[in-house]
Formats: sequence, C-alpha cells, structure tokens
Amino acid sequence: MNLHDWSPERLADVVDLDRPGALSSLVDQYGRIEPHVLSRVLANAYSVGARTAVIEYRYLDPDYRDEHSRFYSTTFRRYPSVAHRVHFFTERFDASVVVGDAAPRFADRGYAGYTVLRPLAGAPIGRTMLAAPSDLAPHVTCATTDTVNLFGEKLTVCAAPFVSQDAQLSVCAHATLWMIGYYHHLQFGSRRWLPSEITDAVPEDVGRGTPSLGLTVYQLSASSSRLGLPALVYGTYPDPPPGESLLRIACRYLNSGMPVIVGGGEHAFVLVGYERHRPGQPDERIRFIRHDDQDGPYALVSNYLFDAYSPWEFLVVPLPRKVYMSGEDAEIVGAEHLRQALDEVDNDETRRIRALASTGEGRKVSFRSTVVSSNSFKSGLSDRGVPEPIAASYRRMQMSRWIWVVELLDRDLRRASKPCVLAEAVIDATDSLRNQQVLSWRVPGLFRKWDPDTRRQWSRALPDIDPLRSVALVDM
Amino acid sequence: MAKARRYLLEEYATPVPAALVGDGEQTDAAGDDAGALSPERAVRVAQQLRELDQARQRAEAGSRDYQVS
Repeated sequence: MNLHDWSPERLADVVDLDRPGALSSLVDQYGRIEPHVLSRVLANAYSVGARTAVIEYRYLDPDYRDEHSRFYSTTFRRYPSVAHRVHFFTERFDASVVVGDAAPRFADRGYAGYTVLRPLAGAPIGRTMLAAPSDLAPHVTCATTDTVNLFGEKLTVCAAPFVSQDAQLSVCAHATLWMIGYYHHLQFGSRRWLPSEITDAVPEDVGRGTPSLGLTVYQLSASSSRLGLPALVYGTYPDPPPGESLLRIACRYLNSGMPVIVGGGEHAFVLVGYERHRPGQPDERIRFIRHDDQDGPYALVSNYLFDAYSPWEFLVVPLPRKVYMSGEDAEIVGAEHLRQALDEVDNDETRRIRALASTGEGRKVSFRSTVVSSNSFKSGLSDRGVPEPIAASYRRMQMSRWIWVVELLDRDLRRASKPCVLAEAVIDATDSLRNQQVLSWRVPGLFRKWDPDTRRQWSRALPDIDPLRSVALVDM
Repeated sequence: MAKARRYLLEEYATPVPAALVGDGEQTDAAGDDAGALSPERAVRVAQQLRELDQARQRAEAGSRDYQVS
C-alpha cells in the first residue's frame, strides 16, 4: 500500500465475509506488517456473527485526523490524511443494497459495530467499537452506546471502546487513557479527548514526549487527572492495601462500570469486565476481560497470577471528577454503619444475619460497594424490585450526584445468582472521611436517613422483605 | 418582589416535605450525634482509613519509577 493507493476512487465496498479468503484479504490489505491486532479485531467481528462488512473510504476520523495533524503531517514520509471505517453486519447482503435510490436500511441488518483503519502499516487499528462475543457480553460491565452515521442512517452499537497505539504519538498508556476517556465521554457525558490532547496532558519527565518511549504510572495517573478524570493509584504487588486485594479493588470498580487500568509486565491495558468462573466450586476464580492494545479487544484472562504481564503491580482507576471518596474508604464507613445498625435493630432477621456474619465455617455474608449516579440509583429502584415503602423514601432523599452504595450480601444467594442484598448504606461520594457519615442505611425492619444540612435523622419501620437485587452491574 | 413571591407560595404552593412525615417516617434524632457511629466504632474506622491512606501514598511514590510502554 502506498500513499496513492490508500483510498480507491469509489465511495465504499461491500465485502462478503462468508467467502473463503475474505478474512485473509482484509489482513493482507491492512495488516501486512502488524497483522496480530487486526486479526483479533476481525476474529471478534466473526465471533459476533458478522457476515458482511461495509468499508467506507476517505473517512474523516477525528482521532486519526488529529494524529495526522500533530505528527504524521510532520514526517518526511507522507501519510494519507483520511482513514477507512469498516462496519460489520450479521446479515448477509451485497452492494445492491447501497446502490440505487432506495434507503439501505442498515439498522435492520444486524449492526455489530465498526473499526477505523489508519493508513499506518504498523498500527492500523484506530477507534473500534465492536460488540463483545456473546459468551463474554453479559460480563462486560464497561460497555457503552456509540452512534454512527452510515450514508445518512444512524446506527448504534453497545461496546467497550478499543484502540491500539501507533507507537509514535502514543504508547500503551496513551491508548488506555483514550479508551477510558472515550468510554467516559459516551457513558457519562465528559469531554471527548483527541490523541494529541492526551499526549499534551502528560507531565514532562526525562526524555521526549513525542515520539514516546513510555510513561511512568505516575505520568499516566497525572494525565488522567488533567483530562478531567482524577485517578486513584493502587499498588497491588507485592503488598496490596491492608484488608484489600487486587481482585477486590478491580471488581469493585468494574461492578460500578468504571474501567480499570493495569500496569504489569512493563505494559498497561484496560480491564472492562470480569466473570466468575465455576461459581460455588472449589476452583472458583475470577477471570478478567481486558482490552490490550497490543493483543486486541475482549481477551479473557484465565488467571491473572499467571498472565503474560504478571505480576500486575499497579491499578489506576480514573473516576468522574465528583467521586472524591475511594471505594475501599466508602466500604469501611458503610460496613461499620451497617454492623452498628444490625446490633441496634433487634428482630428475627437481624439476629439471623448476625449469626451468619459470625459463623466460623467461612464467611456467609460479605460487603460489596458500588459507585453509581444518584439518578441511576433512583430510576433503577423498580427494576431491582425495591418495594414501595423503601423506594419512596429513597426517591425523596436529596443525594449527591454520585453515591457509594455499600451492600451486605448473602454469599450463598449470590453464588446461586439470586437476589442477595440483605442491607445497604448510601454514602455521599463527595463527603469528607472525617465525617464518617452515611446518607441512609437500611437493615431488615428499619430504614434511616440523615440530612447533612439540618443534621436531622428520620427513621421508618419496614415490613419483612425478600433480599433485593444488587445495584452492581454483575451477578445479583 | 419578595412580598409577591411570599404571597404566591402561601396562596398557591403545596410544600413537599423532605420526609414522608405522617406517612411512616418520623424524626428520631437531631444534632451532631444524629446518625453517627459510636466512639469505639469511629476510632476503629479512623484507624483503618489512616492505614489505607498510607498505603495509597506508598503506591503513589512507587508509581514514579514504574514505566509502561
């Protein structure tokens, strides 16, 4: 492929992916030097049932245009300033759908997502939004909806954003920031950041920023903060924080729909979900789902302890600006309030829970903490089956924009994928830890809420209710 | 203007209380101790939070030397 051959003189091509050799021809066309990530992206498309691809030529991709403007327009070698965008569909159709005056109705043809291909032989994969494979999709907690326009028709896809580094303007750390930044932009409405802006956000250290040889974890977290997503940094090897583990920290944020950056093996990648493998069995373990810009999207990590990048030494968690409190801090405060409430409220159910908590045969109850927007929390009350006396009290509570919800779970019910929440506390995510307050808590028989302005407390007696569904994005 | 606003509120507005007073919720405490942890629990929580804070500071210090690419 040379400068003049990059974009043929036509609008688009429709590729029948069922034809033998279609995959090889795409890899040959776009990934001659670096085929691995491209192959994985195409394999992902195949795994979700893609049978047809529509390739848009002369596509003005904001991210690649920005990269070209900042870097590739300054090199001696000339690079095209346009990209190609490949859309995948699960229905089989040919170019006759596009040719002619009738509307193509792409939305009825099983849109599975897209990938932007850059005219960079060594790093073709740009912005990619592909649906997760069906076996992993229920466990991807950091998926969001993107909308594209193909020949005037709006198409939507739910996916976790992916991109690969170009090894010039960006390395793995920049790619992780782009993936997380684009996710937060689509999911929470934060600002969209282009690649050169991400590069500019990196605080200077020894050496040049562009071309980049790598970033320290400090630079990565500082960049995230400058991009409006202040990040928490956790050292997880050899000693995680007291009372915590890599699994607990990562899963807490993934449950909240917050992607997590991992630094391990001198590489950085993004966790976008996890699954419990063989729940309830002696060999139960957590398998993470990651986006690795050097390996492809939605890779299942069978055992993070024996991963190619082990040991995983750091976790970096970019969060919305108004989440001041970390998850482990919220869990300590919320759990203690729930323990106190369970001691104060004496009925059959609280006695049963106290007995479960004190059993010596392995923990029967555990705490789970999830950060959610208070709007989502309130609008999701019905879907979670929260009965009206409690739901009404929550709906009339004034809450901070973001709240931590600390839940007490029955572990046997959770393993059985049944509603398992026995009690919960709601914490203002902007509150000071010195206050050690919760906005509300609920235990069997009693609901209590507290107003920070008037410092008044209200209580409401509750009838017996069944365990509730969790507010977290996984399990029950 | 303020007088007109008061008139409007008194004549036409029905206040929505923060609590469902009269329908199940009742005020049962007020002041600095309302909703607080007991002193023993508060001390325990403060200690745990301090330890986590120290661990975070160690992690941030260590992050300056760990490069990814």
